[in-house]
Amino acid sequence: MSRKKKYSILLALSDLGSLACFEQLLSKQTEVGLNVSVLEDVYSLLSSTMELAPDLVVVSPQVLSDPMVPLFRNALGELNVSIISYCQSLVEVEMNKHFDGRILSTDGIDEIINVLESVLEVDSGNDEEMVLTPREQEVVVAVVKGLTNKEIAAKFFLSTHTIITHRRNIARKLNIHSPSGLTIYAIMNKLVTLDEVKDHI
Amino acid sequence: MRGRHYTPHSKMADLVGEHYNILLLIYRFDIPLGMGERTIKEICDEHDVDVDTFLFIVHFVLFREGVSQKMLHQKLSIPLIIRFLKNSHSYFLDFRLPEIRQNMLDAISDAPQDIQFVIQKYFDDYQEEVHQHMKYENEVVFPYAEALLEGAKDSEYSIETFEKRHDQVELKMLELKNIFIKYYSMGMDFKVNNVLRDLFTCSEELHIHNDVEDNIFIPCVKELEAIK
Repeated sequence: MSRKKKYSILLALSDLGSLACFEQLLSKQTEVGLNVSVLEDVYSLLSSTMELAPDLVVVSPQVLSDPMVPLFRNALGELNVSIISYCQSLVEVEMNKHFDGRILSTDGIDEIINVLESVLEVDSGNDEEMVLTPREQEVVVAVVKGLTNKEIAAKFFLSTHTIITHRRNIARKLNIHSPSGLTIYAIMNKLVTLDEVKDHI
Repeated sequence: MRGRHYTPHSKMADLVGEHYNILLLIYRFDIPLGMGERTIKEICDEHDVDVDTFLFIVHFVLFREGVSQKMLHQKLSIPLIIRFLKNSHSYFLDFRLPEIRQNMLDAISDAPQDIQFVIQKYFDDYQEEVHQHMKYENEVVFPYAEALLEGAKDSEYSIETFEKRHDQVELKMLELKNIFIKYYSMGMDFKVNNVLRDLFTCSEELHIHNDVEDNIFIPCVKELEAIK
């Protein structure tokens, strides 16, 4: 069940040694879904970036230096690409005003994942999916007030089947499977008052 | 890695000292502390515990060993297994759950009244469910197995009935733990922390208990049914 988003990333590194190291590190991680392309001819950085339109470019400062980054972005026009520098010395690390982030050649896999996730704004916990929709919240309230699936369906003009689907999704999202567990959830999140549910628990 | 194995000649104090979860087990076999330098066999003999059954359960709990062995009912003492499970029930019902309940009420005593109310209600209902679950085993399942041992076969009942309805009694406790972790925002203190840890460990204890029933007790009784 892989609904994970894949990000395209273009590597434009100045030497084959760093490229090999970095590629190997990337291939070992599975946290961030990546499609990796490698720029063979670094002199084609601009045209290749425009052609591939990656989410992220990782460049050596020798290929694209920090002061040139705004110019590069200008040249890309509408295209929104994140740019990270791949640094091999502390001097390079210091020049980091325009890059979106930086990776050090000595960084381990955890640091790299950290940088990638923050630059790509990877949604690692897929929070979006775990938050209840307004309709699901209404269903929670109805359940803890003691309504049956049939009554809830009638109340919202939905089929019982739809309510069952809602309840299944609620259980999955909250990891709460019992009605009494939902009651605690609803009280803690102030969705209902104790008086409203007291007779049903 | 396979852990160290114990024989009847290993020292009981070594076994218990090396695995703290065996501490709980020995009480359910009615074995007290103060075991000195005596071996597992010596202690077992002293307390009327069949040493093979004891070691079988120990190795099952420690290393998940012995599952799907054949002819268990000849190797193991079923009356001892029943005594062990009954003691285990009384540990949960008379000691462990009431203790967690008390600590929990104490830990959430600063939370708003309505939250205290629903949590207490949840736990009381849960305790009642566990009580029913274990009462059924004490009053129906164990007597059935004991009758089988005596040679009487109750044609109405079979252990399969029990197997089918034997639910995972620890699930609601895990659910409560998850609710605390995700939604209890009354601030964290050591008391709440302790309660959470109790919910973790007690769920694990219940799980092991159920596993012994599912993987040792039920197969034994099935064998007995088959030879009748």
